[in-house]
Amino acid sequence: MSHIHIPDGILAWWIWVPALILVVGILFMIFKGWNQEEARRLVPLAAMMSALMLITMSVPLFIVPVHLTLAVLAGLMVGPKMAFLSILVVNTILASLGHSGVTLVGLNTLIIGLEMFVGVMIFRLLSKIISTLPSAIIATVVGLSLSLSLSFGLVVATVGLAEALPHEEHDDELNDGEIVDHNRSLFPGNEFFTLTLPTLNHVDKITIVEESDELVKIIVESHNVKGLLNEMFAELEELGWEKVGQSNIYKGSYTIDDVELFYHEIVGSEGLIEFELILIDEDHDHDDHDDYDDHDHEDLETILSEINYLGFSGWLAVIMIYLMGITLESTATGFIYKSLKKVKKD
Amino acid sequence: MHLADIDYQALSKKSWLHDRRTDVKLFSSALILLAVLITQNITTLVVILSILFFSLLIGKLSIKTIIHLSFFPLFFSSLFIGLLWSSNPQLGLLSLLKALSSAWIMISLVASTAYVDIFASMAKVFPSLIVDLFMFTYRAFFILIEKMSDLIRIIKLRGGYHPYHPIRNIKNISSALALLFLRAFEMNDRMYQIYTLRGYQGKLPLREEQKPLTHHDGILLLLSLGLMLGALL
Repeated sequence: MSHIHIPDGILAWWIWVPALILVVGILFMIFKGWNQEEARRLVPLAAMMSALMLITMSVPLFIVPVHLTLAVLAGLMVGPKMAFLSILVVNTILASLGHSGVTLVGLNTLIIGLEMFVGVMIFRLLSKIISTLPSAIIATVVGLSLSLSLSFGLVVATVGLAEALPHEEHDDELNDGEIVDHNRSLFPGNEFFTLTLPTLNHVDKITIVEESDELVKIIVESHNVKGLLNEMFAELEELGWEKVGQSNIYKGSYTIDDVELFYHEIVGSEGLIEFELILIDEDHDHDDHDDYDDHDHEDLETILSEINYLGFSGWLAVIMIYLMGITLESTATGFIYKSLKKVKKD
Repeated sequence: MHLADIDYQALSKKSWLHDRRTDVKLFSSALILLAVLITQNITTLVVILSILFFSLLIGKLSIKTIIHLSFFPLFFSSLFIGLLWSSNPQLGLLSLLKALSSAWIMISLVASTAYVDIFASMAKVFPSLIVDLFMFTYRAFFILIEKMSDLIRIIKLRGGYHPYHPIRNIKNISSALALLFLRAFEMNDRMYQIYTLRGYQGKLPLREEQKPLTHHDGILLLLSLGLMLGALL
């Protein structure tokens, strides 16, 4: 369920490459100091578990538009180390069949591996106090909720779900092709857009997307985004702008007097950066930002309104889908593990 | 799940792509995948896709099978692409082509190369335990699929499934899965015992048939290198 299905080429390399390196590191730690004899004995069981996961992960459930993973069950059956290898094998095979990107194997292995590890640890704690079935169910619920939040958060933060949602402005952003007019009446701080930005070496094209009394929004096309941003930082600081926040080089904000400048690379389209100048009036400061947020929320709501499940729609439908998925996965894990324990105590 | 179909395709068909060396195909696939990842140009992706489509046809895959196999990446990426499409159609198209290209690269590889040969090549790089796990998983998958179809039939015949009793269904299906798992595990365990008796010590002796490097392999390498350079430029 927490498996990320984004195709190759969408997530930035600095997300999936470290994930792959981390997986290699974990593998190194697993193999280091592992009893090879014991590991070999577990291979058939782990393979069986991988095959079961392979089947459950490749078939979306009909009653819920998600698929199970049974990662916690794998951890309970073969232990966290071998289960981690199983998860890696399953993700690799699924990726080779077009189910999520090949580059996402590391990230998916980490997320599902975390779900498995947390689930197993909680089960070990709980099974000392309560019986097998509730322990397995609770452990799966906690593990799955964690991994689900992580994968959802990661997708939203990196792919920028909110940013990817339809903005009215985006409909004509590139069609207009309107170049910034240097003689335009100056919005406070707009001299940076009109006078400084066009002179930077790495700017290929500037397009106005929106212009009002409180907001100026432009999109800059560049063949070298990093070079452009470095140039821009130097110019801004020279002009007296103050850095307010920077989550990474491609996203941040600056301020001067009563104007705030936001910039971010448009995710997935290399070479395009969106800039916004927002007028911060002391009385309307929060309102302006709220308006901006509200606009995004409106778009999000439009998309969400199209999601319907069990008579619910919007966020409620999304929550219901995930709740149903978590319930199914945890009860299935609990019952399978209980049945297995009943037949085979060891 | 199309693993069985792809396996049949890789083992029973003969084509120009089937005859290429496994290591050459792996390296070429990696190069083309890299080209798909780095390019932001729709025309380049269309060229790559056309070549991949042609290679899938060369690999004796029917158009019906290609469409069937393409459904997987398209289905799973549809939501994301749908969101992009409404805000930036060009970016949506780019993502769609990338998803399809990377899936076709992998399909053309696995549909023209026996899994055993891929595992044998992997054994040169990966720890033997992981390669063994791949091999055993591959075998276990077919055992499970066969047992599962029998089991589903039995559950239905004995009235173990009722659309209006979800909890009872979950309990029955979970018990059935547990039983299935145990049976399949016993079969796999027996196989492990046989392997151990025959001297298995944590490394399956995978023997890759080393075909001589021919100019045809060179053509494949040059083509993938060309695509890679094309994407870079």
